[in-house]
Amino acid sequence: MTVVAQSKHQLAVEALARRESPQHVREAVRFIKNVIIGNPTKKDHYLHSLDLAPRMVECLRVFGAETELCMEIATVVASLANGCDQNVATLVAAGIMPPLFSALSSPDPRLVDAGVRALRSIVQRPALPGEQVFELAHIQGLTALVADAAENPSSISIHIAEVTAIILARIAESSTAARDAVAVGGTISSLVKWLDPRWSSTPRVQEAVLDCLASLSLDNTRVARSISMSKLPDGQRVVNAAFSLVRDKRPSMRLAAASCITNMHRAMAIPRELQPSIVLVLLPTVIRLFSDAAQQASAGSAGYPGLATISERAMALFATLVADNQELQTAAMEADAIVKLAQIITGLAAAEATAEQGSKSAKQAKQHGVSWDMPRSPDAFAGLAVSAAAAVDRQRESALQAVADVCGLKEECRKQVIDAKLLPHIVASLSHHSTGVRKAACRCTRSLSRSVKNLRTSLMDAGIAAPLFNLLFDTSIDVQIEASATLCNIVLDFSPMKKIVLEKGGVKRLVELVAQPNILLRRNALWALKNMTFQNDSEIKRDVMQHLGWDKLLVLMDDGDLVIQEQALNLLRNLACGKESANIFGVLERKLQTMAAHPEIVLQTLYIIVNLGIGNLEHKTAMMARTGLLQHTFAFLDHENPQIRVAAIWCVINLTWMDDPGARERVIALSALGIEEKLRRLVNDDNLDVKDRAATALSNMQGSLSAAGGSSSTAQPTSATGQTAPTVGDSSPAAQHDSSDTML
Amino acid sequence: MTISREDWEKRLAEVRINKDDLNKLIMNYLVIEGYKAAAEKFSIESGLAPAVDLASIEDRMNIRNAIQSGNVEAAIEKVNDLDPDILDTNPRLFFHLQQQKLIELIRDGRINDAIDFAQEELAPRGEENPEFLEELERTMALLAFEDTMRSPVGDLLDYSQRQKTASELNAAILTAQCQEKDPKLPSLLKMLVWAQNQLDERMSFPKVKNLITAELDSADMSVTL
Repeated sequence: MTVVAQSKHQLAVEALARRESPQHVREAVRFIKNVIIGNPTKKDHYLHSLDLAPRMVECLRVFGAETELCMEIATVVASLANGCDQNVATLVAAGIMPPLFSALSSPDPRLVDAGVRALRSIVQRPALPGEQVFELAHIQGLTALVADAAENPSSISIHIAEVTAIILARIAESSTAARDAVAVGGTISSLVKWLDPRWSSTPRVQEAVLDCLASLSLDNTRVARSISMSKLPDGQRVVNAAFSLVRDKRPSMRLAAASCITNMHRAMAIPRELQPSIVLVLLPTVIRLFSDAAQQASAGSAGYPGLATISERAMALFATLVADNQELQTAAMEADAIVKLAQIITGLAAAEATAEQGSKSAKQAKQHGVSWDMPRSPDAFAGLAVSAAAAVDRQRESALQAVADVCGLKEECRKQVIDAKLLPHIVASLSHHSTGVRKAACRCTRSLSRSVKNLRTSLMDAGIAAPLFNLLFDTSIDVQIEASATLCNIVLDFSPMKKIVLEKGGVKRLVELVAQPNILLRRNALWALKNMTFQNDSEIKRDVMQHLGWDKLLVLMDDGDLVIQEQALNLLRNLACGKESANIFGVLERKLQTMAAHPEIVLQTLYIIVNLGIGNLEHKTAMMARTGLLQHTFAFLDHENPQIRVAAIWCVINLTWMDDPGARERVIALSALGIEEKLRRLVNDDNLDVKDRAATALSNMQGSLSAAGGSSSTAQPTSATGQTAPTVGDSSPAAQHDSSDTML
Repeated sequence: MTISREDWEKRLAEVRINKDDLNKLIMNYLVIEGYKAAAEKFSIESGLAPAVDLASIEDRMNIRNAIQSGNVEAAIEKVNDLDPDILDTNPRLFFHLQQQKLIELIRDGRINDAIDFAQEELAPRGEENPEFLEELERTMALLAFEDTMRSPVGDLLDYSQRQKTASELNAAILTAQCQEKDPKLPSLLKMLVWAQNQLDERMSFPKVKNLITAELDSADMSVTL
């Protein structure tokens, strides 16, 4: 007998440890089950204070043949896993998975049912490292359960099929490899059987199957097409069945069918005759599901605690559906999606404000002893209030993401976002405590900043530059990546916010980010620097060069990442203003030599040479001395890409303006390289641009040779081509090429 | 305007009702109202497979009875055996069951047990969902009164409170089994009465006044509009 009185909970766990008899253990497990169901604090207590998990694993091993006992343990596992992510991590670490898998091969369907319930509760938590736990044999075992039930329907076997389909859906979500593993064999045909109207009285298994089919067809064209065209027992195709179920009275069914159709749509697996239903049926259904939010998001209603609500999932699905699709973005706007999202975001902001108020007064009440005096877990209140707040945060994140995607392409959609007075909420969300919300707010800002009008007015007036800039210092690297990508648009030359970013030390920070290990962050930061130096403002350029320096820039031009190389060359092109040295010529020559197969690199390199060719006599003479560079440059006069041919011709043009000192000598040297002959051919080029520029170059060369220089009646840099000749910076032919990918 | 009885019956005769639909309607009524034995017999005679496991009807009725007789703990155990997800995913329902248990403890005069139970089980639920706190405080107020029945919170001790809790649990079980909370037959009859009243405003016709015999009543046929 112990002196210290043990709690009934300690005694129960001890019974599992002693394993006196299956009956004793079973009684203890039943006791635990009825204590923890519905009780998050007790779940935590059993797992993390009383160390229940390894005791259960041991009992499942020792008493594997005791069906009733194993059922009860599996039920306890499911309930513990329903509690929170941490519980799942503890259970998996204790080794609960192998005995659960063994339970699935039991001849007793009740044990199989309890086993799949436990697995479902575990896999639906994101804490689980999906692929590490499931082997092919497990997946095959699970698919067999779905197939068996349809052959032998009873209410328990139908339930097993439902829960198993959810497990398979979660496994399939984890990776493409997992999707392929699940989709092999007869899985799809076993699943689609359940969509037959014959099973309409058991809608949950149909929802689970749709959910699973949606996961399998996620970014998976082949599987999506095969699912779409699969036939139900009654002869109709899955895609038609999904379109009937998307009109179901159950919101969860509508959402599951809508996810399925959306993934098929993205895989272009919707047959032509059903295409109009995407706008007419699918889109309005998904938008209506937003507002089921109100009831479902409220605490205390049914659902697994901490898992996504229907509204949250509907908004995420909407974002996926309309992303990169102009037609659907317009249709969504016309269906008032933006107005509804604005209502939700406004409502959430108000709820958040009230909750903050409430938690303050509750804490005060606690201090004054008004609240229930709790002898244990003083942090329980804070912890659980946090989990409720996390649900609100996720809701806000999904809503903002939906806004970002619905106004990604169309100016009219951006206008509606501004008109719906969402900007103050977006600005506030940039400084939100949730990482996901900050990221989504960055994406909204990026979508809105694709409009020149917004850059000049709304975004400037809303004061978005400062909070956005601060996110370059965010604790989350993901937020830094989003913020730097968004900043690329904010610092464009026509944006008044460029000045704010510069004043705050934008150049210094971006140069720091370029030195970070994360490739996306480096790309974005370099891109932003390039956009900053887009116009001929030597102060900014000096600033950039001071922080970055030639050495670093030269290193970046040899980066392992092609995008970084391209952007570095692009930046150099913007910076190049007669500061060249032999060093740069060497780099450029090497680029043209080694990167000839990468048109984007070649193009950037050629335009740097174009810009250098504008310099004074000294620069030009230095360049002419690099015969190797010239040979490589002019080899591109014959390149198959007309943009590259044009760039190479511009190099000739800038070296041959007949009023420039030393033009005659250069023309003679260039002719010796066979340039004139090549230009003659290019005058007959198929490409108009090439033709025109070649004519200009040719007339420059011929003019220089005939007139001994100095005649003011001949072509001038600014008038000869009807276009400003390339000067330093990007306001030239180069600018025309560059503007297409300047905005992000 | 008037429709004669003859004409009315002729029109009625043209309406086709599927026998299978009728059977389903009856099965739906028997299952939801909990007539397990009748449902079993009807299933055999009509050849109609019920959508739920008929054994679960009995479980559901037992659970309901347990609450109605004040045995909340037994009800919780039974519902956890029937479907452990119901109470685990439904905090409001679970809170109401625990609240009912607290009420029963107070009713039995087990004041110390009641206070312990409230601290151990109910207070944490109130902290997780502050919206429950008000109900919890109201229940705890029972302890403050000498004559609880006459107190302002005396309604909590009424049989109707048990009834309310039992109904909420019953509805949750039915939802978990994808069944409606209410059988369809009564709403169908309500629709009949409503439709007759609507039509009555416009014309005279033979009505069904007695829903049990469903005889056409032509007593007021003499009145014409």
